[in-house]
Amino acid sequence: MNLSPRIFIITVLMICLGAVPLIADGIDEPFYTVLFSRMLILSIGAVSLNLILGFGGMVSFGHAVYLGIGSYVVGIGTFHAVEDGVDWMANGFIHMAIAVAVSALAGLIIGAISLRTRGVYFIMITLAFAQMFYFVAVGNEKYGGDDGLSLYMRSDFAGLIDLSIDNSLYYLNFAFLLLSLYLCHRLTNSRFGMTLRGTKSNEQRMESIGFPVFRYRLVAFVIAGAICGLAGVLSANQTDFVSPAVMHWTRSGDLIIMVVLGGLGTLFGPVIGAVAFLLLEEFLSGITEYWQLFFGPMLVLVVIFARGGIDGMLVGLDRWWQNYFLKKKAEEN
Amino acid sequence: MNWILLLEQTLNGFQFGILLFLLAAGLTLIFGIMDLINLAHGSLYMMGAYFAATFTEWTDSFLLGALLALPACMLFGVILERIALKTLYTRSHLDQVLATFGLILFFNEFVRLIWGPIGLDIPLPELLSGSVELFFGIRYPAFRLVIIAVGILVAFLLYLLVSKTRIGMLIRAGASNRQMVSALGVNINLLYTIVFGLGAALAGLAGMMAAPIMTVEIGMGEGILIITFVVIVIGGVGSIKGAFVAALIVGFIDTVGRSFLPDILGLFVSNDVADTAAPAISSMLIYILMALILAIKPQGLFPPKGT
Amino acid sequence: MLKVNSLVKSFGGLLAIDKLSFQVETGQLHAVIGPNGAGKTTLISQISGELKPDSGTIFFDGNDISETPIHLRSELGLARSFQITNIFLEMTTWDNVALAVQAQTGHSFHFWKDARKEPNLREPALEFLKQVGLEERNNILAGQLSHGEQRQLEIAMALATRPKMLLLDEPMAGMGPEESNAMVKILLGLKRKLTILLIEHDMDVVFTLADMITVLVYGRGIATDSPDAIRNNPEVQAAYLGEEEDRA
Repeated sequence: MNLSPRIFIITVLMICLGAVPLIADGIDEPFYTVLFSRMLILSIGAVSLNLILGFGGMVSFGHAVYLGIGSYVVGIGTFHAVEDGVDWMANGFIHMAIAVAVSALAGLIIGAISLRTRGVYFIMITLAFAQMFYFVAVGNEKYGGDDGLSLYMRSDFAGLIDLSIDNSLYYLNFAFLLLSLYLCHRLTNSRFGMTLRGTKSNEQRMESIGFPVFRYRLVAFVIAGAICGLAGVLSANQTDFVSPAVMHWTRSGDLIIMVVLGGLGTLFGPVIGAVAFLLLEEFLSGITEYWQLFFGPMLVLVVIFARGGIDGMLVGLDRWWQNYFLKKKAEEN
Repeated sequence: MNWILLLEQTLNGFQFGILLFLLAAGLTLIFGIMDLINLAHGSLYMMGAYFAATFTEWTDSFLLGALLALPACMLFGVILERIALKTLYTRSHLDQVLATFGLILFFNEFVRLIWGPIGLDIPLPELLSGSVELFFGIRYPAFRLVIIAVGILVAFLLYLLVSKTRIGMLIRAGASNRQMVSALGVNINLLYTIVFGLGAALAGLAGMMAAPIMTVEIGMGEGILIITFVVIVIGGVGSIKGAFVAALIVGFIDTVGRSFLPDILGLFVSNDVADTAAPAISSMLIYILMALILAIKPQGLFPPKGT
Repeated sequence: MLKVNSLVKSFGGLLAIDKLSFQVETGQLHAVIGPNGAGKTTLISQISGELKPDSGTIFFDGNDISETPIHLRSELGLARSFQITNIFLEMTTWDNVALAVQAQTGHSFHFWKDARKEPNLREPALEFLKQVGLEERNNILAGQLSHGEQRQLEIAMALATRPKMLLLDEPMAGMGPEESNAMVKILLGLKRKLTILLIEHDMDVVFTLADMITVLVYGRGIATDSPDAIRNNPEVQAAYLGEEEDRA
């Protein structure tokens, strides 16, 4: 009876995610590998957003910026590698290092300005800065401007792993998802994580027991940006295409939806949310062309009625399960 | 530098600023009084344009169409507030963001279903489609002048409403201290509905005036909404005066920056570099301005009193 | 330990604190009393740093702290409990206090080690919970504690920042008689261990606990003296105590 349905379901979900390429190859539908690969990448983005949104209480409406930065690092790098023959610019390790560094820097700048404010100001400012990055990408004709940039090659990991094989890319994505989950787990339970949770719960109290709240928020903001920048690198490799659309403001909205839908401030919530979001999109758009007509109001209803997200429902299931067993035991006695 | 072009672009910037003001005036009140972040405000702008397009087609007159569209927008806003937004006032900002984001998706799809995916064009009446000679032989499109005139008139009426009437007094009080207004025994729900209806009408007005000079299309309200956010942040949440000043500044800098930045940059770097960098940099200008103002005044130029 | 010098604070046209001066000696329990609206909470908020005074100075432990930010005042050794319960409702009692302990152990940029398994956070935290009689309730979410227990938790958190001085803003507010008695016992246990500034309107409590009393009426300090002297001060009786006795 110690088995918790919630842990069981999450475990099954993670195992299934790990087995997707095998299943897809088995039923000869490689399309599913691509679909789930996208889920993994957006899961990483959502995990990173959850760090500041779920644990830190910062409603950042510009998180897709870092997806964009990561993507453009790969796009611009491979562009020069192919056009000008600069070999090192195709190197995947370098892509990742630069994406993390630039995303962290962008997070530092955006955070340093926006974290001085609260509430609606913070939401609007993060959204506005994200829009700024979007327009910079649109205005940059050299790298495709509005039309974007097609990748003629994927990031090169020096013979270590060949990303031109979709299944290899899938497992790279999966590995990075597990890594970001582990990182998030360590982080949120460390002293830093406890501090972050405290600032979400009661900022005033944190100040009065002696925490300089701004600094901790800013560091969390930077870390979240850096992780999401990595997701951007993976995303460009996944789609073989980079365009301003990766950091369109609705993308940032999608990431927020994933986090909330899955369960705010829980470790696996963002993964559940990302999977549910994309499955729902896939399912609804299969039924009707006007799928957002249903998706929009659904979102409103989720906000109004299902506060803990899907993970919250699983917790409810756990409770029901426990009560059920207690009752059964009582009857037996 | 080309002075005629500068004058023309200044007027264009002014006209863009007026549109921004119409959007920002309502939105800043909704933020300030209800503490509601409403992403769907851009949808009201879009609905204004679509209503105007449809009514213009029915009546064969843009003027009549616009006159019909205005109350339609207000009604639409009131219904939206009563059905969906009312429940969000007491919720967290995150909930508000999500729910109103959902509403945007819904409205965009709704418009696509009713009006189709292709953008519409609204023909201007003959009288307004020409241009007017200003002075020194400079000609300027008549309709843009109308937009400016209507905007100034609305700003003046808003000023009268807010500073001279009882409702205006409540609005001012509400923007600086919400608890106090409810403590005064005012029917707060009615006040909220009125403010929201007013905001919806203003946003719709902006949409219908933008319709003939831009294309009426799905999602047209989103880009301008984000610029409106910049205006509100610069002006200070809850301040109509701030919204007016900031809207004109942002409209001017954005428009003039886009047309003159290549020249200005050309003074410092080679023309090639200037031409490549200018589009990217000019689109950053208003955000840089916002960052600068926030660094100096975190609450905006005209911060609400009592905080 | 604490010296308040001609402090002035007004809201709009209303003077909340009017040229108030008094001193709190090290190791004493100093109470501030006064009718509702006398400016007691305004005073404590200025000492702890949530409000900036219009003029006047506040010296703490020899330092002028009038302009010091809140978290630095806390580092200097000033801790406050709030009139409205102000704790981390979504965390357990133990986590609440551990977080306050953490604030005292240098910066919190430790990203890897599990903070819930660090004995140098958990053990002292449990010790402070014991001091306020909450050690049995360590695994309960703070939001599920009773009102009285939440106030006790407040005190434990304030203690955990290892202050030299404790600012207590009506710790008995909203408590029943039993809870009040428990709190008085806790405060008696703390007396002499550290300096305490207590704001309270329950007269019995103040006269049981305080070494010195300052009487605040409409923002002005009309007297600062020992409990006996305050009791017999005619001005105080007229302004404040008299009205209490009339009611009784």
